[in-house]
Amino acid sequence: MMTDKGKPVIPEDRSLEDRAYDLFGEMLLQRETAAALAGIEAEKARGDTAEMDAFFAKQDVKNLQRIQRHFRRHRARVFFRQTLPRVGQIAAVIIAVVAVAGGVAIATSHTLRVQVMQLLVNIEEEYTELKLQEDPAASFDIPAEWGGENYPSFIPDDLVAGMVFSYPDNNSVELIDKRTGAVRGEFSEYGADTEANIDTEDAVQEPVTIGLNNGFLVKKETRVSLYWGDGRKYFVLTISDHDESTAIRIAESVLRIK
Amino acid sequence: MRVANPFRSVEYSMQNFDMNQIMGLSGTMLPLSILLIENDEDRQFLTEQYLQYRPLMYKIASQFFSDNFAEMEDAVSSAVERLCKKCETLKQVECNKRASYIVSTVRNVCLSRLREIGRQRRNRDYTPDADVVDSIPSPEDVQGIVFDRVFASDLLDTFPELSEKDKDLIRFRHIDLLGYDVIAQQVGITEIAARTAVSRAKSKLERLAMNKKRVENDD
Repeated sequence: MMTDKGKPVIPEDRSLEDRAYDLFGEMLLQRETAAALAGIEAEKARGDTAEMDAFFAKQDVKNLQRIQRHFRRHRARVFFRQTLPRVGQIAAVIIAVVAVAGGVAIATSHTLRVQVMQLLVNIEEEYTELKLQEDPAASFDIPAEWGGENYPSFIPDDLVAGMVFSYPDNNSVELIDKRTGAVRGEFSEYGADTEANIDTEDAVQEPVTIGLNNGFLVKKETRVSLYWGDGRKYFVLTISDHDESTAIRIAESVLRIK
Repeated sequence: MRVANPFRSVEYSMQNFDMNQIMGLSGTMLPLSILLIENDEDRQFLTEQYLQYRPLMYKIASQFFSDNFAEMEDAVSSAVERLCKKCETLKQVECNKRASYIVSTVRNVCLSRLREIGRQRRNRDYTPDADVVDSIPSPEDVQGIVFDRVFASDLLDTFPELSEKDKDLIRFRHIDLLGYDVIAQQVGITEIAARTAVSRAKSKLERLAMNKKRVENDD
């Protein structure tokens, strides 16, 4: 134990003799630990670990989850107590700078802004210049809670992203009518471990191409559904009170964001 | 040269390829998106330590709760929780001393648990033995004070010869760094008796070590 000036301080209840024996205690601990480890190795060599193996067969999952939970909570605590206040100051500067410079719309606190870049190629006689430049018209917002790897960059003007449901390999976002608040559709991204069902009873199905991917379009009453895959994920888009071309346009606007 | 984006109908007069390249996230959330990148180093480190030393944790816990698997499970889990909180400290401990640190952590958890459930290690009698009092060297033993020098290694080598009771007392005081009041609570005696018992345990250790050294020197 040290003071602020770096000088050693004897704890109140520990004399010099105690401290000398504390050093002995450290040596004793190391020796007994070494003996315990040697005992464990001997047990392993004898094959005498059934009881311990059974113990950890039951405990490992629990303890590993405990470790994961702890660091997830710790990361969130650090983020909200330390990082966010500092970032708030940085963000204020960025907003001020961007507001002066113009050009990029600032998203609300509930959405993230995704920049879409385009490659500019300037071919000169002796060299070709390459650079990336933001395409402001193509940039779009996504809900902050979205956990999927893809998201539609186009949503009709009368709709807005609503509730987001994020689970491993299963992410969905509702499409809400701005005027009435009614749910008019849903976009979902699924992974290999997820099964999804579409109501195709008494519906009309036809194959379609979404970008470079094959899919199907399902029409039932006023509802249009599209499902397609890109080899890594598969997607389902359902929308009501909008025509097929709008549904296809939404589907074709799905971009990889992660 | 113009290239049409298969996903969009807009074409550009400039020479460009539309690659739908995502550069990242911008706006107010740019710093947050970077900072939200998961740093798994600590979790990975702790996981490795747990998998490497779990047999040791089991062994130490079984020394305290050999007849109670539920308590052993709680002890190991609590020790894991405690190691998570002390992750930074554990990372700074030298590799060859990490096992001892983990043993010390498990011991503290087990002792705390014993105190919580009010169970004392009463399988031993911790009250001072009357005959021990007479055999402790007195300050008048000049020869012993002046000529005998007992080193830590001598004490370590002699430690196994102590009774289990005396070993426990020295471990509580100088490995677990418990105060006398806590030791008293742990073993079910008064604080004054705990002080006396620890002191006598150490004196006995020193005496045994000195006697052993004298015998070796005489030989």
